[in-house]
Amino acid sequence: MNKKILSILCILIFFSCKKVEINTTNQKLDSLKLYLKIANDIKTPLEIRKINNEKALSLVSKQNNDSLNRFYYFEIANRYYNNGEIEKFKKISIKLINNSISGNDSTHLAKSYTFLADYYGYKFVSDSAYLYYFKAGKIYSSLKDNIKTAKTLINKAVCQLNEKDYVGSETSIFKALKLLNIKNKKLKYQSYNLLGVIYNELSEYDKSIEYHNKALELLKIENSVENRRLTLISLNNIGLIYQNKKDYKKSIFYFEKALEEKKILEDDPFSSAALITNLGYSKLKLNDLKKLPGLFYEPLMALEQLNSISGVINCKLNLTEYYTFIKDTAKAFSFATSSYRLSKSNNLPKDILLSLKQLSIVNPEKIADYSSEYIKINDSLQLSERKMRNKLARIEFETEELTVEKKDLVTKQRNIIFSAFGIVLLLSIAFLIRFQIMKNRALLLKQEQQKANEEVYQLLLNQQNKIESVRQVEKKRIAQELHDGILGKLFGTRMNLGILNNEKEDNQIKKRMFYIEELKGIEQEIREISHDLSSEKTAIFNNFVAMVSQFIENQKSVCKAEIEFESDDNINWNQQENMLKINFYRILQECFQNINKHANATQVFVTFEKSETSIILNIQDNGIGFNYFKKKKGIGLRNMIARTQDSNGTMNVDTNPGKGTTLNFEMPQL
Amino acid sequence: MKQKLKILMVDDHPFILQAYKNTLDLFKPTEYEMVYYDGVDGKTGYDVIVNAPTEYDIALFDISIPEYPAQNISSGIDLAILLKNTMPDCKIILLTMHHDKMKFKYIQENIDPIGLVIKNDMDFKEFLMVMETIIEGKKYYSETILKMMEEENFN
Repeated sequence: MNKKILSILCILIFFSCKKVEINTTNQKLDSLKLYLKIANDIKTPLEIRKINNEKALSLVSKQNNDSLNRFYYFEIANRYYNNGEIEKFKKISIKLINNSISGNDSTHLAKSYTFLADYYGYKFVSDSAYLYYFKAGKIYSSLKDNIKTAKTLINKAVCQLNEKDYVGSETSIFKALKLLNIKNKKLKYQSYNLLGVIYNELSEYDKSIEYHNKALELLKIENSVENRRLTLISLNNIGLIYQNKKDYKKSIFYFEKALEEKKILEDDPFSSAALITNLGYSKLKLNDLKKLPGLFYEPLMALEQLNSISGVINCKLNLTEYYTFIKDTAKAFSFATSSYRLSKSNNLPKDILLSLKQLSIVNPEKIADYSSEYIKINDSLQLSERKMRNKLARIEFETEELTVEKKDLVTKQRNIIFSAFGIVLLLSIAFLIRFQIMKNRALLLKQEQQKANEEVYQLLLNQQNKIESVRQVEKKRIAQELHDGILGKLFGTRMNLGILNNEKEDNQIKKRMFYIEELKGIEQEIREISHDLSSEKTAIFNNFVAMVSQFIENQKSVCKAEIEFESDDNINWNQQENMLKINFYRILQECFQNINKHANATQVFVTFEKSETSIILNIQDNGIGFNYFKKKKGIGLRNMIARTQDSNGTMNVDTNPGKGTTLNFEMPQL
Repeated sequence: MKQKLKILMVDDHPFILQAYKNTLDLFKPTEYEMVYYDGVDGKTGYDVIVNAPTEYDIALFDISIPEYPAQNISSGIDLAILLKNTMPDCKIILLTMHHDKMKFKYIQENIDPIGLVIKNDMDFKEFLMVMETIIEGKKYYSETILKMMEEENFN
């Protein structure tokens, strides 16, 4: 029943910590520091403190976002918190989070997370508080700041405790304890105290008392005001446990022991009120009614002044119980209704439940209504508690998962970038090499072709020379023929005819006839020479055909197949460009190389034909053929293609394995 | 009594030999009786000079005739030289189709024939003139040759 007060006490311990750390002001009091000092001076009236803090903020907000600037923001945030300006505190905390992120300052980031968490803790939004404590803890643990990590763990434990995640809370505290050493007495105390509370909630009262005693032991080491204050809380807590154990005498012993510290209690009206009401409750349970109901009314007034709604409700419920006990039903009902309304209007489901419980005792006529509402609220409360517990667990799990994912993602990304870079590098190297090889190959091919061209040129030239010399011989022969033969004969005939003019005998007619016949003979002879000459002409000018014929003749001795060669006499080779002839000749050479090497043919037909616009070379064999598409094209075939393209011609290949090969090259002619 | 003139003729065209004979038969038939000896190429020409049946009075050589490599006879010129050595008194006439200055110079220097005729310049009447001139013992160079020599001298 008194859980509420207990919890509030615990939380107040933590949130009040902040106030302490600030009093370290320097000797040099510039205006900012002065404002801050005044804003934190408890003796100064609240309104003036607030004004000074605003002045400090206006100065700080003009500074650049650096470490010192953030330090001042933290100071200002602290003052907002202490002065109860909790929304402004939240605003500054969020600003600090952003500034720390942009400043890349993880220490301040963690601290600002704890500030924001404190805000949510103050507002009892435990899941958000838990999330930010968790985030802060992550950073602190990565910074290996054990004390601060432990602090956030303890704060997390408080959140978990508030949401009744006792096991989670216990785990967090043990984690914190592992990080702490003997020197961190305060945090250790908090941990033990919390463990005590947790075990109480889990009804493990002996364990609870053990940890509270451990906490008390820590406080005994140093006799400070703070420690004495904390001692009160521990004593109160132990008293509550005995109360829960229904060992009311012992509980009264602890409460009364705590209440002896009058000086401390003067400054802490809340604790004082809690202790008195708890004492009263134990006495009520022992039927020791001497000081009752005063022990409930006194704290009720104080708590109402302190505006502690939970405390007020608690007191009123105690009073209800008291009046029920002394059978003053009207007063009991009035307090029960009052606490019910109060808890309902403040939306405190646990207190509603307690109020309903009391109401059903005080007013049994309406018990059905109360219990149905009780069940409804209880169910939804349990549901939301369970949800919240799950939520807290999920926050941790999801965030952890997220960081793992993030890490994974970063690793993956790095891997992807590396491998992509590697692949790109490899590809570009491969491309370069390939490009170089291709270039080389193209160059080699060009060189080879050039060489081949030269060869063919040489061949043509040789052929030309050969023909030229033959021509010379022939010319000589014809000249001789004309000179010696025809001229001689003509001379003779002329001489003889001259003689005839001198003779007058008629019988000379016969002789003249003879000479006329002779002249006919000469005509014939000239005609023959002329014919020779013209036939010679074709022979001379057709030296490309001669060259090809020569080549074919040579092939006949090399090639196993029978070769037939035909060339259309109408092709005017002399008009054609030399390149065309060279290309034809090279193609022919390549073809015969292929035929000799691979074709295994017995017959080869080679023809040069003429169409209106082109000259067509046809090479047909009856060999084994080949698969044009299957294998990588050989250098020979590639050469043929190149040559054909060079002459702007087209190449047709008609072949299949086992079916022989027909190659057809059609080049435009001039 | 007609004077006998023994004439040697070498030409590869029998037809031309015939023409010469026919013409010479008509040269002063009352004064001279012609006796002909002939050859048709280097070989027959050589034989008819080396194994001459008689001393020839006049010899007619065509310059271009089939060679007789065995005796280094490559033309009518070689035959003329041979004849000049064996029968220095024989009157030599060289006939040719060629218009080769160098050849003429060579001929003049080595043979100095009494007659040098380009066949183109010659016809029936001209031939009779050649005969008349050389029998008188005078040199006869045909028209074209004279022209060429003139050009040579002027140059």
